[in-house]
Amino acid sequence: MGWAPLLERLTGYTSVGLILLGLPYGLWHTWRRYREKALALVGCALIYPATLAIRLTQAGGETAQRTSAFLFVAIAFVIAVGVVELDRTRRVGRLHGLVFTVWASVIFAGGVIVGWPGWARLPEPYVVGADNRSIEPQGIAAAEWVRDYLGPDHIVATDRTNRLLMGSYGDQRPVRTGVSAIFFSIGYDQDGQTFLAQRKIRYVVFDRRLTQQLPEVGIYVERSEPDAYHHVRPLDPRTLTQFDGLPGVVRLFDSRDIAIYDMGVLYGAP
Amino acid sequence: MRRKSLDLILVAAATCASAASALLPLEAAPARLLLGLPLAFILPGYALMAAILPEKKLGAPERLLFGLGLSLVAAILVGLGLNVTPWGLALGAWPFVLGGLTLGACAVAWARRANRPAYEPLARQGAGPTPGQGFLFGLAAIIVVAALTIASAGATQKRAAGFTQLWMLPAKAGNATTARLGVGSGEYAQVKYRLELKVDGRLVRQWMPIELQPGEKWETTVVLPPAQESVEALLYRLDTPGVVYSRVALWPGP
Repeated sequence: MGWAPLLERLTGYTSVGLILLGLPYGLWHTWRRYREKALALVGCALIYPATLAIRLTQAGGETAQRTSAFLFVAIAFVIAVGVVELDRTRRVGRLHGLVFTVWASVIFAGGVIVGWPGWARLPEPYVVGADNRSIEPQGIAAAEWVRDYLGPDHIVATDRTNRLLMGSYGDQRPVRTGVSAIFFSIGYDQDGQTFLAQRKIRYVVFDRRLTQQLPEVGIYVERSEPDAYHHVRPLDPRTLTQFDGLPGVVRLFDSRDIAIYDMGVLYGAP
Repeated sequence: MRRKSLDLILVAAATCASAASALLPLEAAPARLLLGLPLAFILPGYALMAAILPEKKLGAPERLLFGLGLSLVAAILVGLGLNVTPWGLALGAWPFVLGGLTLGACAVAWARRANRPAYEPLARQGAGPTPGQGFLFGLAAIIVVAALTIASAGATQKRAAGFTQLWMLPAKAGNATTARLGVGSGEYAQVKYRLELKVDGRLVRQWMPIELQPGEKWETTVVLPPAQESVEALLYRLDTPGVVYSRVALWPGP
């Protein structure tokens, strides 16, 4: 979660600046010439500056990122209208093509930089709490094992990455909130008991790698977890063994990094 | 009429071939891919564009761009639609629905063109690229090749270490409790293992060697002791025999 290299930051800021520079001119000409047919695109393009503002908030970054995929359909059209008008009316000269190519290239490169953190851009080895970089064969195989051997639709508590895998490959029903009650506890305490019993958690999936690295996205399990986005040390390894020895609990799966506990005994599940 | 809609006849024929490719066996993956890709990226968009713009004279680049864009849009919307149907996002449903959409769009385009006197499927524009355009195109091609090289270099490196799964699934069998013990290999090469079964810390049974190729599984069923005792299974790799690789356990119930 550190700063991106200076060149990347410069390219990102420049690309945003170039879009903001081109938008008013494009909007003006789109409004003048195509407003009857392209009103929706004009409206969408006008939302772009607002999405930049919400990027400054913690939750807004994700919203802005997801919105941009749609907004850029409108932005591309509006800016293209501006470029065509500029070429048609102002006679920029022979350099027009080159200037536009560089301009578009900076916007394209900046879009990638602003939209994707450095660790997410290329397929590279596993990293903890890093979205696409955290999806790897061991996690997928564990989720498929749960589906094949335990059946679908069980309530599962696990970390952010395994939650995605258990829900998709595993056909399970992972809980999204409250999970930090067990992931940030070094022993089976009252909070953990309450969480497991109230939410009727059947299986808990622990990933040992969470005790070895800080999460790239800033959280291990949920936004409300202790020290979210400000972790300075990985999870305590004692978290992983807090259920060992509990009467009736079964540690039924282990693939070196991923362990699965059956907690059904807590509420008399078959 | 037939002449001015020759492109639609070709699109309809290609659509039928693409949709039929779903019937090919999974082993014929290259043929399925070759025939199936146009149905995802080209044919629906071309047919939709022909239906929407029956007489607009667009150049080849515009047709290519709109065709690709509309095809992707169609695939996404068909996916959304299929997701809410009882069939879901099934392998067989995609070519059927996308193919039906394409053929329907072809029929609409055919009907709309019938009332128009002249139609040029592809308008020829200009005499060819200028040297400047050729230079920029070459530059873009170099960037694409470089990007693919960098991306594939990362994609081909080993992203994750191999792993081995160990499981123990207790079950009631009459008055006795049994457990299904299993080992599954997700390693990149053949690995030999030793599996120990302990009851209250005492070794009661051992399996060695368990030899698994990548993707192979080994399973057995054991009868467990009375419920007052804890049961633990420990897996060792024979190349590191002193280190417990993984463990599963059952602790006596309340």
